[in-house]
Amino acid sequence: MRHLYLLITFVILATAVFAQKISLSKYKFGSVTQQDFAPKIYSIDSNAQAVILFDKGVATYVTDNADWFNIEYVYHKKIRILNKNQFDLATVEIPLYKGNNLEDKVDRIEAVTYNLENNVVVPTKMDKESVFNDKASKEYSIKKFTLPNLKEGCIIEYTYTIVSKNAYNLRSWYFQDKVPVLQSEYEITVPTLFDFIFLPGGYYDLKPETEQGFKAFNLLFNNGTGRSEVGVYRATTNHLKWSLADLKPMLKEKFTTTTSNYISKIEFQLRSLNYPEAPPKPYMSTWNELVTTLMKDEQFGADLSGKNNWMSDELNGILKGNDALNNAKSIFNYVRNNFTCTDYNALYLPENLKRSFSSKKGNVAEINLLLIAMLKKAQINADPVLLSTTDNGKAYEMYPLIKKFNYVVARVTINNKVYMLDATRKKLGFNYLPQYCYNGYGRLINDPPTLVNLLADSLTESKLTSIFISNSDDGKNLQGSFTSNLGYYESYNFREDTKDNEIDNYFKKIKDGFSYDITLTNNRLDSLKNPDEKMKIAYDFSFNLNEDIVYFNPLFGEAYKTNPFTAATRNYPVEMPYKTEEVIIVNMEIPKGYKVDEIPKSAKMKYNEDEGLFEYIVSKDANNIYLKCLLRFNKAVFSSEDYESLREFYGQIVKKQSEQIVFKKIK
Amino acid sequence: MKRLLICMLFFINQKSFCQKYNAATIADSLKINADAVKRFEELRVNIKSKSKAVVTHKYAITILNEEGAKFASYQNYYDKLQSLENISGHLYDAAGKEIKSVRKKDIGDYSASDNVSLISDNRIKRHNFYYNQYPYTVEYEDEQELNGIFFLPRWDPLEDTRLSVEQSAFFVETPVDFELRIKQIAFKDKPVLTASSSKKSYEWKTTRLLALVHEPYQPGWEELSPTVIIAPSQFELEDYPGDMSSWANLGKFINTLNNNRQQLPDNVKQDVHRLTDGLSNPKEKIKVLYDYLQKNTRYISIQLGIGGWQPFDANYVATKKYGDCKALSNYMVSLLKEANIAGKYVLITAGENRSGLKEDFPSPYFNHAIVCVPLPKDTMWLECTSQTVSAGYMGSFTGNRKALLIDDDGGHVVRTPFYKTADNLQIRKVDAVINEEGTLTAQVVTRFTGLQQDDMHGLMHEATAYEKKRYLNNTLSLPTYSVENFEYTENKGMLPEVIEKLSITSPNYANITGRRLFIAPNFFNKSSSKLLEDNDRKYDLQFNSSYLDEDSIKIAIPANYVVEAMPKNVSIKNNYGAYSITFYVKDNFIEVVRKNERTAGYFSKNEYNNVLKFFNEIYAADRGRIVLIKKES
Repeated sequence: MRHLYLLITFVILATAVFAQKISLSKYKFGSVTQQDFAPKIYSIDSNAQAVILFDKGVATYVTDNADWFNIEYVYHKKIRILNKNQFDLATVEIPLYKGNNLEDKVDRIEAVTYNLENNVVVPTKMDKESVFNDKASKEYSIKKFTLPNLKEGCIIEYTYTIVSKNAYNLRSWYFQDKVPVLQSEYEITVPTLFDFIFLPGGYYDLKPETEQGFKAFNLLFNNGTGRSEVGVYRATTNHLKWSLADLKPMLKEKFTTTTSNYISKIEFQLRSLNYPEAPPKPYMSTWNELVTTLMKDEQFGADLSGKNNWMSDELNGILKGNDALNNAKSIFNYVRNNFTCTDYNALYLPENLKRSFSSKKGNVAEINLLLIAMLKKAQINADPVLLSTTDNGKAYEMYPLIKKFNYVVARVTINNKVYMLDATRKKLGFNYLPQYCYNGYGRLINDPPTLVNLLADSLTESKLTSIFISNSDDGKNLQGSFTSNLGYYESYNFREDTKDNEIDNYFKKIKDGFSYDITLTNNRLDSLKNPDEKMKIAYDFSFNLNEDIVYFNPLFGEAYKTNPFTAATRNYPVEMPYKTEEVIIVNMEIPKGYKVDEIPKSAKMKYNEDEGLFEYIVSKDANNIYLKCLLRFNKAVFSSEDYESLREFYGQIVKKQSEQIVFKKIK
Repeated sequence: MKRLLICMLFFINQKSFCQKYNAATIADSLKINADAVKRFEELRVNIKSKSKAVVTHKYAITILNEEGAKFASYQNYYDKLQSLENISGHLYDAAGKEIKSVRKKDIGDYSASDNVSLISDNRIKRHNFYYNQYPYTVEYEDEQELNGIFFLPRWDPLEDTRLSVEQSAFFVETPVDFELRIKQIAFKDKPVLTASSSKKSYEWKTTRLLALVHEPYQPGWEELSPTVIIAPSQFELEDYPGDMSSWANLGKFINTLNNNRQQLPDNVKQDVHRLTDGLSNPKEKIKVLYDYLQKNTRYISIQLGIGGWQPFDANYVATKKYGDCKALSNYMVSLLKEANIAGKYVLITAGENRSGLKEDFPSPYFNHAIVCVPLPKDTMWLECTSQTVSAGYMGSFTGNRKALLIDDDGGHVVRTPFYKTADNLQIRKVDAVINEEGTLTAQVVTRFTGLQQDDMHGLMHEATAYEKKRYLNNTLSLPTYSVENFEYTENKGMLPEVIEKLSITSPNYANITGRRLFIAPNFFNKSSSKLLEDNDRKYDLQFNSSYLDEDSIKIAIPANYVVEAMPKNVSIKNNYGAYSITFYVKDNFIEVVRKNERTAGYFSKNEYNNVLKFFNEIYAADRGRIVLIKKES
């Protein structure tokens, strides 16, 4: 509801008119001089092959005699391209939303390439025919253009204006890019009617310059006689400007959920509409209100409270007896096995649940809400949980900002025990969520709407490998067994990655991985087809030694062979997917006819006191060698300051695990 | 009685309908190595005239398991020259009972602009039932109207590995006076011909094609999969009439498209004369003009309508300083022409390991344009979309294949350069030190030439300093290491070379256990291909390129160590190449020399186990380890 009448009342009451103070940009389009070409390298990064000289966005609320506000965004960017491998920066794509009566309009596209020729700045303008429109999908089209006459060392400059009809959503601004940015600023002018929360992110200090002004808006309103009339709304405006200088590029390293968590940015959330002389009208609700709205929303929870008799027949076929946990498992299995997830990035239902139920497919919200609906109908306590997946960045714990969430799972409580369910993946078991769900806190959609702990630190992945080696009865061979009990996520990934027709090859590859000839028998992949269980990989083996000196690594290929941390330095945290506990136990009979000439020494290494532990414990008696190798991390996320020591810690592990036992033939 | 008969008919029909896609009726042989079975296919091409054809395609595929689900999705392309209409489809369960049909609003419609193109008019329609109770069957049907018969659909019923075919048929209908040309590959049966007063028709049919599988070093798909390709003689593309019954005539058609598109603006003409008038050697002139092209233009692909075949004119490129392969090649020809050099526009199928045109079947299956300048001694080949590649060098993208050179009198089949073993070198010299802690420091100098420099050339020019560093820090097979310094230099030429210099530190490279030092001295060039045993090899083997790697490694080791164990020297020579590695320890130095040579060629499948043995011996020898033990003091 757009309370236009409130604004118009204000028009009549208004007594003073203030001209809005015009902020003069120090950057004028087309002001490129010879000096701009002087630098051959830029001190921010001497290796940079392109530098964004400045990047500017100006967002202003406008009306243009329409019946409500639009936001006009003026973008203006200037880039120095030093190497031709950065020419891609001169191809620009502008995605334009076009659905739901809120379509974006793009206007005033101007682009110029400047080259320095004989000490004269020569501009080449892009012509209008070089702007193309690509209808990407029903919701989006893309305006595309590329600048003419690029040469190494050139400067390109472009500007365009987008008018968005969505006055409630003020676009975010990202200050960093893939190349260094010398100056980046974002300026907004917002009538005080719109009260936004500012959500800054990243490592640079983001403080805006602020000032207040006045601006007259022409608004079309219905004067009560059925005729429309233009009225003037003179509003106080807030003018804010964020600027940052000399920004390093943001590049993704291993063990990172998404760089968007660490990039410098400013985001906005509309809190309320503050009409003159009226109490603020909340736009962003509280979590409690949001829950109420969501549960009434036909595109979310409305169907959960209905009778849903359309599912009775199926449900009756699934339910057996009165054991709630058994029934919950049966319903979960039914939904998981019969429905296909077509979109893993969704919060809302495009169709009602009945329709999703009959089409046997749907997005993650459809499938898991359907699961909840079926559980509820079976009298099982089940609620939705909203979360943001790792790719999507972290959601705010404090603010009920629904747009930061992108995924729905189910939380079930049976006999005071809580189970988390996601029925969208065929190979994911009961009470397991995919790894990417562990990205901070989720939010329970129930009263009270509590936080749900989904920190990576709350997960532990344990793996136990046992290797037994003994002399064969005739003393000619060594034989034994290998058993590895995988952690749940390693099991899950194994199931996802191993096609049925590749299982034979899996053991062939293990066999080929040994540097000596080995025979494998009794190969087993236990629980490969049972997603509720952790997997066990096991085989028996036999091999013989005939060299005079034998160098033997007892860890059987289970060792870390390379350091996972390749980069020498790091600017943001290391985010491992879970806490780890890996144990390898080797129990080996000394080969007949050989004596131990050398054996690795026991070692123990702590990481940051109690945060990590590596143990390599060896002992030996007359006939046997015992080895226990343990790697444990008591947390999953480490700060960037920890990076170097973490890299060194892994380096030591790789070194220790590569050590050999030396056997010598007894002469 | 009559009523009973009707009921029975109804009953029978119903039954036969149900059984049509019953998964239980699939022969076992069709399930071997298959994730899906094409139950039925009918591809009809109805050529109405030189400028119009209607294509209808109907097929049904039974999806056996999750891996086969990729065959369940429907997609097809359309653009200004071919429409896509009347898409319908049905989903059947394991017993062949219909469960669902396609709703129009569920058909997605997307831009098919690839990442390479700035813009193209290609669009794609997609549909998927997303069913997951295996087995199930999808059936789809669509219709396309071709505006111009330049390209006609090909019949390739197997489509991909792990799909078998129960039955498939290809029908072509043409006017009586239409000359249809046909090329059959891996498919023997001749078409059944029928003719009436108004039209001719051709029919190919196949039943029970077993699924193809993927095997390492197999020949290209085109040689293995039964295929029928058809092409017209006379045709029209938009308003341009043409003839492709011979390569000469197809070339003439390309000439009509390119005609009058080589006018350069005056300032560019002046540039050409300024740069070349003082030179006498034509090769020098070509190099200078190619360098001018590389410095002043870049590759931007715009493919709209006939623009997929007709280049933007030279003036367009001169103004905007960009163009696609056709526009840039045409521009290069124009520059050469201004300098009185006859450069020729060449159409080619680009891509690593792609085969060139089929000489006995003139047809327009090209995806790229380049320029050829025939010279008395060595012909110059020019890749006009690259701003960095050497004049005269083709590489693996366009080298070693047949292409169509467009001359004033029409098209001529030509062959692009083949790069032999001696052209494709990787010569490496390593000077290393291992200290008492096992830390390795190494200076590595490598010279890459020919095809072996293609990747390094790309790294050198396309990667930023950061990307180079990241690549280098992830690419070597060392446990923990860092590349402290790197430097690339390039010697351009008909056979270009890149010199790479690296300084590397790798802590703990050598393992120390007590008194012993374990060193795997072949640091950088370990063969990664170990073949798996296969006693049922189906296809012949094909090695696409010849090359030679030579590594000379010298490692200084700490004093007071003596050798306890040395790997054996290995030397092998056979039809597939030659390999040798020698290890030598003297004083405080280890020296290793490794040579690995591969010969391009085509080998019978019976030789697979010999190749396997060869590769696996190399694999083992490359990982040889030296064990040193501290002298007792």
